Amino acid sequence: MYTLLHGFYKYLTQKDEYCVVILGLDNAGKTTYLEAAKTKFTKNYKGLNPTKITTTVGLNIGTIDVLGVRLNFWDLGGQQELQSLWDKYYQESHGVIYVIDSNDRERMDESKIIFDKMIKNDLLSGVPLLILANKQDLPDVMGVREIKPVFQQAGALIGQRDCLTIPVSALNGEGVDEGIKWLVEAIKRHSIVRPPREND
Amino acid sequence: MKGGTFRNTQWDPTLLTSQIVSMQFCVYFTLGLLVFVANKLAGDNYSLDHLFEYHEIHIYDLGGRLVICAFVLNAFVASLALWCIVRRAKLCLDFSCTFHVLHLLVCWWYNRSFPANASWWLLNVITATIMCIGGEFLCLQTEMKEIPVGYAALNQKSDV
Repeated sequence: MYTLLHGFYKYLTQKDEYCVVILGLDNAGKTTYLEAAKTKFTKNYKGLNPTKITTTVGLNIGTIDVLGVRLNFWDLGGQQELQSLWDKYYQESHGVIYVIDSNDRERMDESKIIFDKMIKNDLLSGVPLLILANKQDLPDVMGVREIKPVFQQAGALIGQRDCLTIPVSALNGEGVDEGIKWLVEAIKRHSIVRPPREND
Repeated sequence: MKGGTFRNTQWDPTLLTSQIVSMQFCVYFTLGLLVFVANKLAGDNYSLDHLFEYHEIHIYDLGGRLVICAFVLNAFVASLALWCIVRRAKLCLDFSCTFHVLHLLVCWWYNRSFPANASWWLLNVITATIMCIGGEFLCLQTEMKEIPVGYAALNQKSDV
């Protein structure tokens, strides 16, 4: 009887699970962004000290519950050697977050090339895309107005999908909230095409 | 060993409810048989009262003692039922308690009062324990058996 009632309770309170992959060049601020998101949406979460965050080898995983769904984040390492691992995650992803270092003008072209390569992939067709201009807390950074045209050249490649570009500061936590909430709504709209993860 | 199929979903309400219902029926059936035998031996006339009435559980005369023996024996038979119907050691406590809670409800309805007899409670606690432990013991025996991999050479020692 206990198993019956407990299972029934779990069945009633189950949430849809979606997977979001966080991509970008190394040192763009992906892991810091993941920590900021976890701090914002998880109660009593002791965030990792930003100075202690080092380059990601492999990936970092985070989970948050927001707007009645559960989001699993896969923060993949951005180093050159690790970029070959990205496409292994595309089939299971319901959303993509692309993080750009707004302070790094020299590597903006590099970021663009990688972005193009990522967005061309068939396994990501139609998947909602959130582009973040990170590190807005630093002085004299490129704003969204400067970054957006660079990446909008790939407009044809972006194609028919929900896409949003916003400025954020992963260290301050500004812009994290709206970005995630927009992404959740976009993923829910897209769930007809790519349904939530099946938990057996 | 027949090909095993592990449960295919995590929570199967149909399976669970049907298991509860069949457990209840089977154990009451065997209990009925055993109490019938006990009554025959004691020379009493057999009635449902022996199963459900609180005041029937007593040790003053042979009839009462035999009824208690029947209940205890039934607990052992019920652990066999647990082994056949439930087959999972983890769920034995759950099903054992479910059976006894349902038995409590039936007795409550039958007697129109909540049980206050110490003997009735004592008997039911003991049967619940026997049923649970017996069921777990039997299920563990099956669960701990070797899983046949199907490659006989694995079991043979080879000379290097």
